[in-house]
Amino acid sequence: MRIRKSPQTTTVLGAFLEASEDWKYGYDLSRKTGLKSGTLYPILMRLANNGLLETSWGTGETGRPPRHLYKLTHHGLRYAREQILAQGPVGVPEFSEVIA
Amino acid sequence: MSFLRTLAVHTLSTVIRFASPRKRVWAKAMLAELDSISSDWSALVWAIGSLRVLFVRQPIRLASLSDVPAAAKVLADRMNQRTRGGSVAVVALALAFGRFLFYAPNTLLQTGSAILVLALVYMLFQLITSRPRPIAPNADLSAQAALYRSELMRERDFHRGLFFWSRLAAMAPGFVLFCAGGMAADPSTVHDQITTLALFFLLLLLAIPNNLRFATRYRNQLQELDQLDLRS
Repeated sequence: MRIRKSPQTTTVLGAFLEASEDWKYGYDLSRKTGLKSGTLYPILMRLANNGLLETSWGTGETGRPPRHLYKLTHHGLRYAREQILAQGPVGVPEFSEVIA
Repeated sequence: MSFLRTLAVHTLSTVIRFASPRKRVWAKAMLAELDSISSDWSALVWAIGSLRVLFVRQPIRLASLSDVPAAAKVLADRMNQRTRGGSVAVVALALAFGRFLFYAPNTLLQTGSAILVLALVYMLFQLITSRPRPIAPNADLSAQAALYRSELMRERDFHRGLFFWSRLAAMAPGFVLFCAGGMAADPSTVHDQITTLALFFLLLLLAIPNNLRFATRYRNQLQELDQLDLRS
């Protein structure tokens, strides 16, 4: 698996582990992780490219364009748990609760 | 719509226009988020971040032989881009240094510029000979895989070994002579010329890890292809 194991990637993976079955929006992820779009999206792209992230276009609210949604794949969930266990909690304080 | 938000929308629209098809979907995703950002300033910062999307590398993961054509296309696009951009830069530099062949105030500067132009011609030769090779549109998967393998090997070798070190070595003597000629022509610029030389050697040094990193990346892709061959 050639994913850059940066603290930012771990932070994003941690954010996905919270309510892991729910689809997430990019801007919500950015706010939750505190990462700027220029950091967040390259991470999302790499995760998707490695088959760890599922993407979908959701129906937008009335009068708004559809938004891109993200969710970890089964493989991605396993990878995220492994990474967070290996590196310890970074950035998002609820990691330990999520893993537990 | 405020000026800042308009600027944000224009920035993202420009990124969408210039992005490759695979990156375009991500830029569109970022544009779709703009409506959810209430602050205009945050919307602009969000849009500026999208510029990084243009520079993210997205190698295709080889899950099966059927992924080879797409991976080969990504590689060919990158090689084409490098050939075009590199050739324009090299020709521009050759013209810039080449004019000193005719208007140089001393022989040292003239010799330096001549060697530099030769080095740049050598670089141009390397760039042109390293451009991607076309493949017949009706080629079967094994032929496409064979071409992809040979292209990966060429790219790996472009960034390491004789190809790479000879490029570096060719540039250095000419530039040193050129700067020395500049110092001799106008002793008041000695400090500037030394700074230029230091910067030049710093760039040469930085080119080493950068190129070796690329070589490692292509070597890994070759290993990925080997593993795929073994599995199939």
